[in-house]
Amino acid sequence: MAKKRSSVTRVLAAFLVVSGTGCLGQIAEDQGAERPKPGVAGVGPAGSGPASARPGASAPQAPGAAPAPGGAQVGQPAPAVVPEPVNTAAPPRLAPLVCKPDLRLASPARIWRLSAAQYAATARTLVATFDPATVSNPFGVVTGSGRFSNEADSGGMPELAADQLLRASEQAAPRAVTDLKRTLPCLQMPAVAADCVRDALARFGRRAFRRPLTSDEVTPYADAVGAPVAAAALDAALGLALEAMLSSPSAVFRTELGAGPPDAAARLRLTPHELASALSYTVSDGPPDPILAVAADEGRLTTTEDLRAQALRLWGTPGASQVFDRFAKEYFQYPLATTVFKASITPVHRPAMLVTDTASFVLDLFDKRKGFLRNLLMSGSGFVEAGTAGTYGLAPPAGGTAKQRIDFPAGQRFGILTQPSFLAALSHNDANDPIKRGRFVRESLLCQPVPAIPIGVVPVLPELGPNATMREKLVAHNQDSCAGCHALMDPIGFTLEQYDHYGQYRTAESGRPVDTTGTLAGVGPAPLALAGPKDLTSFLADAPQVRECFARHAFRFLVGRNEGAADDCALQATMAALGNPDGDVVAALTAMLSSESFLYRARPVATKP
Amino acid sequence: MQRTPFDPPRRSFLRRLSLGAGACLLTPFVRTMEAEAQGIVRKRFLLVLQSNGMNFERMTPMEFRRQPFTGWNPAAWDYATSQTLINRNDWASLPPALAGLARYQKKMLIVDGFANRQNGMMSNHGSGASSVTCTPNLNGGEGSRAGGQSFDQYLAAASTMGGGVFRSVDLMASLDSANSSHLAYGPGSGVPLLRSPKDALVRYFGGIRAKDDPMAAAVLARKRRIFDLVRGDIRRLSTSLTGSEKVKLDQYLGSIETIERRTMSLQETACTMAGPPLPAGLGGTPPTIATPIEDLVDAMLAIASEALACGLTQVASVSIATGSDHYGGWNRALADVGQGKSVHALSHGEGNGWDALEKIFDHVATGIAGVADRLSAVKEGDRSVFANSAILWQSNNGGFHHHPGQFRWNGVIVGDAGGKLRADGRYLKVPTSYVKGNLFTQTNMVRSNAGDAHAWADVYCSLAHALGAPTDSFGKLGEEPVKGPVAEMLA
Repeated sequence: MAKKRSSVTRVLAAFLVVSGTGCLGQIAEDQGAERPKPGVAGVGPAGSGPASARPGASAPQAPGAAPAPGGAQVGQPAPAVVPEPVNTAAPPRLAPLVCKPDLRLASPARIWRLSAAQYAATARTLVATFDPATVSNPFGVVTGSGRFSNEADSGGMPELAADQLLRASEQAAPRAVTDLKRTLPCLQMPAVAADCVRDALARFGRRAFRRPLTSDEVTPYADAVGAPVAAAALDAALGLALEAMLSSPSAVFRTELGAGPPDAAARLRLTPHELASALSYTVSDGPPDPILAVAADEGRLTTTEDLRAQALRLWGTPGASQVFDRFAKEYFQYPLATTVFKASITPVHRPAMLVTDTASFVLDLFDKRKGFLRNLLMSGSGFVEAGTAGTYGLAPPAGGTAKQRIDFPAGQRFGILTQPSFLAALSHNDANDPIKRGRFVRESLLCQPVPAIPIGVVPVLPELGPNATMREKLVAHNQDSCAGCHALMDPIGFTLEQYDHYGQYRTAESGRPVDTTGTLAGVGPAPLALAGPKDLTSFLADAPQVRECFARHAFRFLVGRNEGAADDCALQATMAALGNPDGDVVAALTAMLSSESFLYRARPVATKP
Repeated sequence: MQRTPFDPPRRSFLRRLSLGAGACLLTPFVRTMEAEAQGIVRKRFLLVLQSNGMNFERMTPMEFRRQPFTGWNPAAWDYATSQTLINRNDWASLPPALAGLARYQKKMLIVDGFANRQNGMMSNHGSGASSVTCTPNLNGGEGSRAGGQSFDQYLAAASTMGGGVFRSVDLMASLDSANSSHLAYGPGSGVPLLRSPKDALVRYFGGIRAKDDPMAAAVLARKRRIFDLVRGDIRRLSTSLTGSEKVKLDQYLGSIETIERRTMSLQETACTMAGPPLPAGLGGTPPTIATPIEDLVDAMLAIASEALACGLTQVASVSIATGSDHYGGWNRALADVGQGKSVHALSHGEGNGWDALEKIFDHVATGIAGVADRLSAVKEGDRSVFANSAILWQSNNGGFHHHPGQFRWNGVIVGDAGGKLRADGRYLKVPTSYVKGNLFTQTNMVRSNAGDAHAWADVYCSLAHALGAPTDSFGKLGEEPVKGPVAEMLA
């Protein structure tokens, strides 16, 4: 498995051999890259790409029926042929998913350090009288380079984190001793016997390590206590052992090692206790609750059905909503709205409130489960409050200051891409940013990477006068060597010109009717002509590429690593559950959490201690 | 009596810093003494990183001051004037924002006009890690992860600057637990910052025991048993893992061993951290929104200065409200004195609040002077620690109006790093690199290649040379062309 290259790696490798002056001028074949299937837009040999995408090819193809309302303005005909540059090569995409159950690959055994939130929840659960907020969280600084904040690879134990952990354990241990003494009468004897000490350590260790300890594991701790121990010395002696337990790697790392006899492919299934921890931390950011812990103790997490039932239960807990909220925020990046400074003080712009509007919208859809992805991308409803209603062109809702669910005026809003927080997050200080918006759709919803801006290139938009639109500036800019990459992004972003950089719906720009037409290339045999945001979101809401891309991002978030060839079955199962029109997001995520990718690890090669 | 932000308790702060009973006694360490014996000078560096911009108009000596740029019309910006070179040490009048540093005026180098635009058009309330890495942040935004190593960590990793018990001492004065660290060991690898003065005292001073501490033996024996137990668990688990997974545990093992080595070393005494307990509000952990930001800043600067003075480290940093909360604590401080405008609004020149804003700056300036005092009081060889030190005070933001732009960065350097810096009461304003463009929106910015124009990274290169860890290429992967050390900065 270690030698397998992930889909992401394969695509990146293909990018390394980009040739020609255009960003995507020609992409040579890379031996490590999978060849696209016939009929699938993908990385092809030099000069290739769908014929219709080449210069001089046929006009963009309409997406099915005639353009629907909500795109171009009344009285403004949607152009049949878009004058912007059309990409000269099909955008690269990740290798197609091919589920081969017989392949039976597994990712390596691993450990995953608790995040700050997980550590706090765990410490609070372990020592009821200890408030982790009173100490510096050892894992408070997020590291890593990916989109998601909790990657399995990025959490190590640098010296300061270890120091803070030891400090927190020192604070918590005396309280843990008090708690134990309350529940174990034998600890209250004048002389505490060795058996009692071992029992106490095993009980606490079971909760701290989230699994039963072997006798050999208890022994060093018991030896450190030095039983039998006089009552007067018990607190200090037992406290020492608990302090060490709280700092043990078994307490602060989730282990995914697997156990038992390997299968024919040398894979090990995670133990019930490992699965309980994996499920619980993944879904609710906390340690296994009593129901899950008992299920693990009783060996009731050995079948996929057991696991699925527990996952479905956990997705209904408050912790799960918080986790999903974090996923949506890190995936769609709309909280960045709070970091985009607006140069003008009018109109009133309240980005933090707009972010919570979108969060409420997402969580409402999550609670409803059915039709999640479709509604996420094209719902005409949302949440507003008195402080944000103006951004949507609405009067403050009646009934107080609380957020209220509302149907937006017909033809104005279509899901999360048209939410003001998202639009403001991907905007300039005083103008829209069709490039960023288009890039988001291309990379994050279609999983088609766009090369980074070349080093040394300073983007300069031409001066076209005060009445020039952003589209006009970009079209003038996107010539020559810039055109290849920008054709992958800008024509998508142009459809969101329906909104200004605050996220307000508009019908005019620079005194002229706003032009919301665009194209979407690389998703079929010919570029799609888009009349406006509704066309874009309608296509995305039903596109299998988007379901796949959503599944890939969910995988990276939940499993904490990039997907690889061994994970295609899990991704396909997730995609199937997301299927329109009534795809169930919880069922989809549960499919991932009960897949073989989640259940199995490659057997490690034994090493000496 | 209502305390104002401008009547800080710093007068007694150093005396009050304490761990309570059994206050620890610190040391010039053996390595320091060995280095001295070999004639090696151990230089010190302190980074004071302030949020919300430094408003270069407010940091300019009065002789060169121009009216602050308070309008919203970018066309009003005077590009021609901003492209002049000023390199003078014959001025007399410190601006009010720097009044607290008056006694170090002739040990000061004010730098201005350096460019540090990263992440393309980013121009929001701060540039996050790129302010100290001079490379684009990984995900673009202010709060996103560092794209490279921050300058303080570059120094800390250098063989000449990484001495002491701690490679670096990294502190944050912030009331907001969500505030992020701009400092980075490398791409995507943030440096954790301590927000609690109490935690910082315990970490940096409390774990070290004096040789004459009667409790030392028992305390150390207990610690050692805990380390042994944790180490045993690490090794047991390690046998089940390979490759990068095992590396995580190796790192934990290394961290435990570092902590153990530090904990077990009984120290000679030289510096004393003694006095009554921390003031109310700072004794608990961590600070809350109710904690006076002025006290917190003072506390962290005092702890950093003590760590530097005692040779615990050669590199320290204090990040003041960097991250998502740029000014919360200062807003409260302003409200205490009846200033209705927020720091944000004042930084834009709204209202009549420049005086208030300057007092905030001056509070930090006064704290930095306190650091210099402390370093001046400790001798190493025939010179003071301060004589071999440099303190850099900069913001995480550059440009007028406290943010849009990142096109003109400024800072204040106190101390000449052993005579290597021209910190002789100098004001050095290099020509701004950008000669055209919309300064608010940061669109159509045109960069000049004028010889005297420099990137902010060049300031770091200069400091690196002065501090004995030379580089000509810090920030080379960033979006500003790096030329290397600025001749006018070096002696």
